[in-house]
Formats: sequence, C-alpha cells, structure tokens
Amino acid sequence: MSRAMTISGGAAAIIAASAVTLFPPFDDVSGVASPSAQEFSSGRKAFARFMTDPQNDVSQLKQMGLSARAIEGADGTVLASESDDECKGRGIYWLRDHGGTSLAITAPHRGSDRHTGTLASALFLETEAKVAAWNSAPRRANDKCPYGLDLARERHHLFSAFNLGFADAAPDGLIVQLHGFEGERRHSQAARDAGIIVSDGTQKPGTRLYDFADCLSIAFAPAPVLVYPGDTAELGALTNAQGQLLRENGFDGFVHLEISAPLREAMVEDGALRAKLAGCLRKAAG
Amino acid sequence: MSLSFAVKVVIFLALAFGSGLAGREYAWPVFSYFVEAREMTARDAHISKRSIVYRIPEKRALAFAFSQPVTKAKIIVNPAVSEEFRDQLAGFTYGLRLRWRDVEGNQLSQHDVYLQADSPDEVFASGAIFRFFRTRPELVAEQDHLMVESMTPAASLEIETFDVADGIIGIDVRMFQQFTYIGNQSLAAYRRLSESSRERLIQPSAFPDDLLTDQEKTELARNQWRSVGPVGLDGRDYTMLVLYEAVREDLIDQNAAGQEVAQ
Repeated sequence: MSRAMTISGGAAAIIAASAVTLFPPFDDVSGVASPSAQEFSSGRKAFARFMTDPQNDVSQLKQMGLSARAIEGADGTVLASESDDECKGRGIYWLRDHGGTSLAITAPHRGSDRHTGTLASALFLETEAKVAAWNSAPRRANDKCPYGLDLARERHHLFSAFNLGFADAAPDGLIVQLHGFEGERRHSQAARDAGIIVSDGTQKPGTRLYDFADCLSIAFAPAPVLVYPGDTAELGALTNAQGQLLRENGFDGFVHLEISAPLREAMVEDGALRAKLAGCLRKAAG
Repeated sequence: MSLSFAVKVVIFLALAFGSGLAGREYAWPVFSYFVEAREMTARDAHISKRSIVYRIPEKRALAFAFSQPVTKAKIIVNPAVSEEFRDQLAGFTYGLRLRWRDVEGNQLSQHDVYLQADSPDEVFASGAIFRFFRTRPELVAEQDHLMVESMTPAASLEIETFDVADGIIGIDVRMFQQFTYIGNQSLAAYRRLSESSRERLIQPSAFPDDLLTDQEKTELARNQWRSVGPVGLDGRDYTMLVLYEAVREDLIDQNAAGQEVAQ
C-alpha cells in the first residue's frame, strides 16, 4: 500500500493532512525491532552526521531500516521512516536538511496522547526546528495492533539513538518531548487545573527549564503552567529513558512537556495559541 | 507599695543577666541570618511555587473583573523594593485604594487600606517562605493578604496605590474570587475533589473527612477560591511577572511542619 506524500499550504495543511501523510496507521506494525549495540551506536552517529552534514548520510539512514523521502510542500526536509512493507516500530523522523533552530520536537506517545503527533508536526514547521520524531508503533498493544512499544521507556531504541545524535550535533540545543495528560486523572488539584506541566526529568530543575516555564506562564496566562517538583509532585519524568540517557551524556537541554487535553485541542485549532508555544520553544533553544 | 532600692537593684541585675544570656544565645544566629540574607540566591532555596502576579501601574488603577457579581474577594499583595532598601529595619508602608464597581461601571464603594511589610532580608532571616523574581533586580518584601467585602454584589474591583514608602518600586497583586455553586453543586464539587484537595480543605476541621456532615462538606467546598485576571493588556495596563516562592534549604523540615502554608 502506498501513501501520497503531498502536503501544501504550510503548517495548517500539515495539521489537516498529517494523519495520512506523515503517520502510517498503527495496524501496519508487524513487530518490534530492537537494535543491536552496534546498530544503536551507528544510528546515533548517522543521525548526528545527518544533522550536521545532511548531504552525506541519507544512505546511512537506510542502513538503520529507514527510507528517506522528500515531502512536497515542506522544502528542505526529509522524512525518514520505515518502508510500507516493513513496519517494526523504529519510529518516524523528520529532518531539516540544512539550517534550522537547534530544537528537536518529539512525540513518543502519538496516538495515545491525543494530538501530540499533530502538534509536533506543526511545531516542527512553525519553529523551523532542526528535527522532529514520533513513535510508529502504538504505546500499548491493542486489538488492532499486538505490538505495543512505550518509546519513553525504551533506552535501547533508534528513537533514543536519535535523541543522542541530536545532542551530539547540537550540544546546546533543546529536545522537547511532547506528552498529554488528562486533568481528571491527576491526584492534586494543582495538576488537575494545570494547562502545562514541565520537567527536565530531575528533582532539581535547571535555570533553563525555569526560563522556559516563565515564558510559558506569561504566554499562556491565566492557564497555570507548573514546574515539577516545586509546583506539583506529578509528571516529573524521572524515569524517562531519553531524559536519563541525555543527562548521562552531559546534555542538559531535555524538556518533558505535558499539555492538558483542552489546551492540546485548542492549540491544534488555533495557530495564534500554538505560536505562543513556538515562541517559547525558539527562545529556549537559543 | 513601692520597692526598696535593694529589691530594684536585684530585679535590674536579674533582668540584665537574662538579657545577657539571651543575647549570647541569639545575637550571633540573628547576625548570621542577616549576613546570609545578603547572599541570598535561588540556589540557597528550595523553590516551592511559582505564580503570575500583576504589577499595579503608577498613578493608575488596575481593574479585575469577576466572572459574576461577588461580595467578597481575596487579594494577595507583594511589595517589590530596590536592592539598597533590602535590609530596612522599619520595613515599608503603603496604601491600597479599593473601588468596587457594578456591571455598569458605577462606583459602589471605596476603601483605603494601609499595609506594612517587613524588609526582604527580615523575611529571609525569619525562615518563613520568601519570595523573589528570578530575572529582575528588585526584591520582594513581606507578603500580605486582604479579604475585602462589598455591601452589594460587584462586577469589578479596582486597586490603586497611594502613600507608597521610599524604596518600594512596585506593588504586585493577585486577585481571587470564590467558586460559586447553586444548590447541591457545592456538595457534588466536594465529592469530586482529589484526596489532597480535600485534605487541604478540612485542615482547619477537628474531624476527618468521613465524620463531616453533608452541610459541613458543602460549606468547605464553598471556601474555594480561583484566580481572576486583570482587565487590559500586559505591558500597557499592567506588567505580568512570575513570582517565585521558596524556603531556605536549611529550614525545609521546619517549613514542612507548617510554619507558613503557601497560598
């Protein structure tokens, strides 16, 4: 089965079309690929090289089981994903082939965290982020797809190699991981009422996270923007695999961004609201 | 009955001795606190909360419009002072002029309130929760709370500053209105609360949640407040700032025991 890759009309059109153009359906997943240590290391290097000198390394993406395709209407970008006949949850990676903000926008729970996939694709274009990435297998196995994979808990996955590759290519950059929460499922009133909860995956957030949170607080007021652990004891991402790996490798630009369901929905529909988030992301990426 | 000279001398000596002991015990720690206060940075602190505050413009009023007419409002006030006044022992005085208005904009009543705030260094030295701005030079003096009432339901409340002491460079406020419930909504709202929110609400009660009557739960749920944003535009009618609350790293346990509950 082939899918059209025609996108035009900028981010708004991406939002409308992304479900069919960027993201293959989860029921195509036929297994879960786990890279060997060698493949993981090669993947990290290949992503880093592509981000610093993209002319050389489209072929190396193929060695990781990904095929690279140009996206019509999104000039200067390459979409790296598994071919239609082999879908083993390796992830979907959208890379800018030159320039771009030192920003990686990722959504490892696309599908289960509703709208985060769409938001990531829109923000990739609107912030001119260097790269974006998504899960290509569902977070949990279900009737349609028996192959579940929670990327945010997978240290040994191409998605993690991608994160480390970005950190190698842009050591002062920012990796934002988009997630979604349901207020009703939160334990504290503060978290229930929150619009956004941010964390850098540690108990002692750095100055950079507070700067980002302050920007969001002003931009989204009066919607409460909380920082873990001071403002709330929930959604701290302390066990997030990519956050841990990045810190172990000396990278301090990881941001775990949880957005409430109503705000996600509003941001998908409202470009001006999304622009507020995009502005803070660009500022934080430096 | 008058005391003899000898008795007066004995009492004087006893008091002097006591003062000496107290001085030896407390003078150095108090001095140390003030020295520490001068070196206060965010790194010394455990950040416990961040809030959006609105700075009242100079010589103009800042208006807050309620979602529906209210007779009660809660205001939290934070005076910001310049660095050179951070340890002013006398603290700072300032006035707030409050004007209730109806939905047509007609003034219903006006109240002047005078407040006094301890200096930023004194707040820090006391070990209570202290406030600061991460990216601004001014320091935050003692926080105050106001509960204000209107005789008739009001649609908005204006706040203006007056008689502001030297050293204060801005007054930042937050406004809250009570949740409004009709009939049994209040009880339903109580039942929907998270466990932590219920615990917070029943803190002043002598009885645990399962011993409270429905009427008591209804009253507790009514005692919830939500923040109200100001009228106008950020940068034109007010300045929006992020205020940080923190406890000193060396006093986290004491604060956790409940010296001051964060708002």
